[in-house]
Amino acid sequence: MRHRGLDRDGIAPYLFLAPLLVLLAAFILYPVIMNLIASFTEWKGYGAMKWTGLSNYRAMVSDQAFWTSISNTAILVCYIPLSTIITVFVAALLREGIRGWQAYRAILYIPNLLGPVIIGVVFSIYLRDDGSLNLLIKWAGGSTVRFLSSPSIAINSIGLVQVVWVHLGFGLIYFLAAMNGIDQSIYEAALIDGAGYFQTLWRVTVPSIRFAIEFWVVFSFIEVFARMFSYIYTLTRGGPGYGTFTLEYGIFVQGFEKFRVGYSSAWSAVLFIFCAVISVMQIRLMRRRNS
Amino acid sequence: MIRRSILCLILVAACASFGFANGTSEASSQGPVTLTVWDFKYIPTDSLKPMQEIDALFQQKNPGVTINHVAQPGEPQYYQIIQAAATANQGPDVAMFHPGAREYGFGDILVDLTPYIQDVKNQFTAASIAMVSMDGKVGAPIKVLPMTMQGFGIYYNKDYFKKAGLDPEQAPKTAAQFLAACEKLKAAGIVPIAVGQTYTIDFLLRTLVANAFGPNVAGLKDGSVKYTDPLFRESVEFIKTLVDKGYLEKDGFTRPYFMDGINNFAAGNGGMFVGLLSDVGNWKAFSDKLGANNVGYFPTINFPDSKYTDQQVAQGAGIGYGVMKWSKNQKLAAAYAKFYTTGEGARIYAGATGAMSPNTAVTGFEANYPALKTIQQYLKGSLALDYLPMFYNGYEDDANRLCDQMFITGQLTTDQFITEYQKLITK
Repeated sequence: MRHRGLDRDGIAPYLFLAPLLVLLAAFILYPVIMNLIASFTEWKGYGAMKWTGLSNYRAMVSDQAFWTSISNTAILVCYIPLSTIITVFVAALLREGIRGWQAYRAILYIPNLLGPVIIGVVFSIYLRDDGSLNLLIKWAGGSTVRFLSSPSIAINSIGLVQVVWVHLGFGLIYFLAAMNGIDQSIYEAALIDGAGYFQTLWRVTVPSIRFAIEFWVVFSFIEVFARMFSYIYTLTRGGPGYGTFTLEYGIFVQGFEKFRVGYSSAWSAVLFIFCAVISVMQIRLMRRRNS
Repeated sequence: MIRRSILCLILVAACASFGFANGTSEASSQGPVTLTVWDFKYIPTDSLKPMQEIDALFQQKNPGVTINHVAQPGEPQYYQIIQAAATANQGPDVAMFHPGAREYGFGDILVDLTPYIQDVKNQFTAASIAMVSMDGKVGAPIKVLPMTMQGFGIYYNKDYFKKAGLDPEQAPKTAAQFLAACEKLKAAGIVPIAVGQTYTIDFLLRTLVANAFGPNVAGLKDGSVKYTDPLFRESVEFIKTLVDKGYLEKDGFTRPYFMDGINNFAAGNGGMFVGLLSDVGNWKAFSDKLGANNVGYFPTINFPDSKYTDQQVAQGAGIGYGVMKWSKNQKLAAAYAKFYTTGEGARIYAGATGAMSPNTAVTGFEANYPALKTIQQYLKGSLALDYLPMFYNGYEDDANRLCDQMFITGQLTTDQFITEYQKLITK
């Protein structure tokens, strides 16, 4: 029995899809499968793979660095609500058309024009123990804040820089676009009903851009799980100790510093599961929105 | 006529084979050849100029050969690039390596250079030959020819010692003298020990471990000596004391580059610095900036209960060149590596950079540098192995992270640190 679509449209749609499918297979599917296979082997990244079964996974669960990387990633995830609240609030402020809002929007968008390495290096100069921020603090009579040399502060420094500050500019543009779609008459009705600024923000703006916020949260999760590397590499290299060592950074260290590519693949498999769950959430969200 | 032609042919063949046996280069027998060299030292530092000079000389001596010397980033990116080349089974003809764990890890893509150096092998120190032989076993294939030997020790600024009321000709070699010197420097408003990231702690621990175990350091690898030994604990606790008392410049731990610490000390910002013998942060770098007669040196700090004293921690080989198995010009590539590590090439490199050659035929720089003279005296005395290269490929990263947790963040107790260190060496 032939497929009805094939009867109706012929082979043409499949030919149109073919380039994308080939690219997906070559650059997504093949690496994912290879990674999974490599995670059951001992391999240096070249030469022959030696099958070792579950030993990489057993080593991983007993590796303190792995659990530290999970907890550090969890700390960074905690910055997502803060990032969302600040970004929505600032976008709402700019939407009000405060004087010079276009200039503010442009200034706040600047971090998105800079590469992650530039941002990382610049902040490593600002935040180091004898950096400009500490010089200011000391000038004001305070004592050195170990922004990068205390593990508990360093992971929070990275959270503030990457999760909150870097995303602010893009978030503003994104949320401003979403807010532009809100019917102005709802605001007028709220005004007539005597709603104040925060009531309007909470009862009108936020519910109206709910889908945008949900999408933003999912996007931020992916950023935290899979796009932190450049910032951590340039700011702290995962240190001090394992203070800012995340899952993503650990994959790099195991695979490309220790050349334990098999073991690193086991870490990658865990990251893949996290990212897959987030992607499923994202797809469901989009389906709900479409429906 | 036919007989004469055959005779001519035999004559031509004999001449050709004679020429080959006398070392006719691959270039002249096969036409122009380009040798590609990957290197993490071929960057705008003291190394670049002498390397360009050596390359030019090699090209001059080997007509038809062009050296394509490519600067690559330093560790850890460098070995990632080598790993990528190995995956593709193509890349440079010659590449720089750190002898020891790094070399052994890539041993299966490196050519055995032993046959190429038979005539000069006895010029190299026994320690350097041992280190470049696979897995450190004498008699195993030599995969890298050593350009430098490496070691660590403590440099001090004699002027600052004078200012602090210390005798500049008397190095503070005992633990008590060292602590007293730090205190006096601090009281005089001088940073006692300038810091170059956490490498300062790393290097200091290496000098102390050498002194603690002396000729038995190798036992840390095979388990006959353990980090649980009280002498290792004493070394760890001594460094902790230096950190707690503020003798190590704490702000230096977060500087972006190790070179910042070196430049800081060379600019006169610090009484002492735990530096290297070769490469960077060495006797030449400091003597040229601070004045040759203003730089003092001692190799380690002696504890009262230590069996060994004044042990100079040394790696038989610091950096060197290996020839890649995929190279189509292996013989020429080996000749290039040999040129850098012996004779004129080795002299040019050592003379310009201050790197200490493991080639005993390369000498004669100490006349103008008292600090080098001191180092050479210690090198003739008691040498102890460096323990860090004994950690398998890349595990020194874990060792450094443990040092961070012990000395900088205070997340580990001495007992936890020692336990974790012991676990690490068995991996």
